[in-house]
Amino acid sequence: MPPLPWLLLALALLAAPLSLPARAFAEGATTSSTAPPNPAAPEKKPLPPGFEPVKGGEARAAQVDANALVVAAYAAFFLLLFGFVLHVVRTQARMAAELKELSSKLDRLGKG
Amino acid sequence: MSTKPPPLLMALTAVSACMMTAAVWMIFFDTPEERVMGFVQKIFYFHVPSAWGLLFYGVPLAAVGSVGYLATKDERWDRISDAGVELAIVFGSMVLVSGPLWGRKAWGAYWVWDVRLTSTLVLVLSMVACKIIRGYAGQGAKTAAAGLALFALLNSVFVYYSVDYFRGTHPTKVAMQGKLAPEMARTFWFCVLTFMLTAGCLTWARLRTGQLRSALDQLHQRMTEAGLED
Repeated sequence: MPPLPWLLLALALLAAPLSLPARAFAEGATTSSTAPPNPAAPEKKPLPPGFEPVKGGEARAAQVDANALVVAAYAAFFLLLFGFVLHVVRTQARMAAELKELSSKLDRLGKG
Repeated sequence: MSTKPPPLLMALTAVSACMMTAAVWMIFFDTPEERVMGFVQKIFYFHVPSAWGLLFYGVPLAAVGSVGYLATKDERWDRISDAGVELAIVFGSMVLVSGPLWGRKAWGAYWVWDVRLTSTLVLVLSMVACKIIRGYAGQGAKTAAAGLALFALLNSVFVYYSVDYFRGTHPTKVAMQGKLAPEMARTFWFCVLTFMLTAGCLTWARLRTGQLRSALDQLHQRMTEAGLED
């Protein structure tokens, strides 16, 4: 059977963490009731509803040359468009040539 | 089948090229600059029509073709789906390139992980995946690509409404809500019309590629039957 002092020590160790929140709550209650709010202290900024705005974005944006961006955007539009048109035209030309060749081969075979 | 492009397609392509030239002239010489964003706002006139080309044309066309293919297993539906996927990739690439360039000036960053931007990226990547699956997945590839195109259609609905439900960095639907000044609205709707005609011409041309491929496959089969090919 364990001696009584060891039992008391074990109980004290178990009870110590339980007493911490209660003490913190009591301290918070006293400070909030006694200390007046400090107007000089920085107010906590409320969190945005779901997204953080880009930090320093406005300053960076002001230095950007809009002309280059617009030219790049329209160049990309037309490159993509003409690239696709060129791809379709070249594919069709290749297929048309192959069709012609195969048809003439089959015709020759039919005549022969 | 005739290997020459139909005269009507050639005429419509010429008209759309003229309209594209006129649209660029209107954007830069006939439409005033926006008060807050300035010159960079000019990207809007091609950015939004290409986004609509992705959301309202390319992806729905791919989905319609996919439903038709899954229901009938007819190759013609698959060709429509394939054309829709390619157009969605082209229009999606336009959006994903022009958007960040506009964002660099408007937000100070090329890219932010906003819901609209991220879901658009996922949409375009799913279209690219459709194309890859169709080309390399072997048997059952067309069915798998059709399934993915249907998923993309659901995602496109999410992309469209995401700016209403998740108010992030991307602006709301300015054009749809009539928030444009009349002189800007005129140019914008002209650009939309130009993009619609261009998309129609591209679809027709792309469907002809599918028809030529099908005719070529039939000829190859005849050659094999005749013992001229392995």
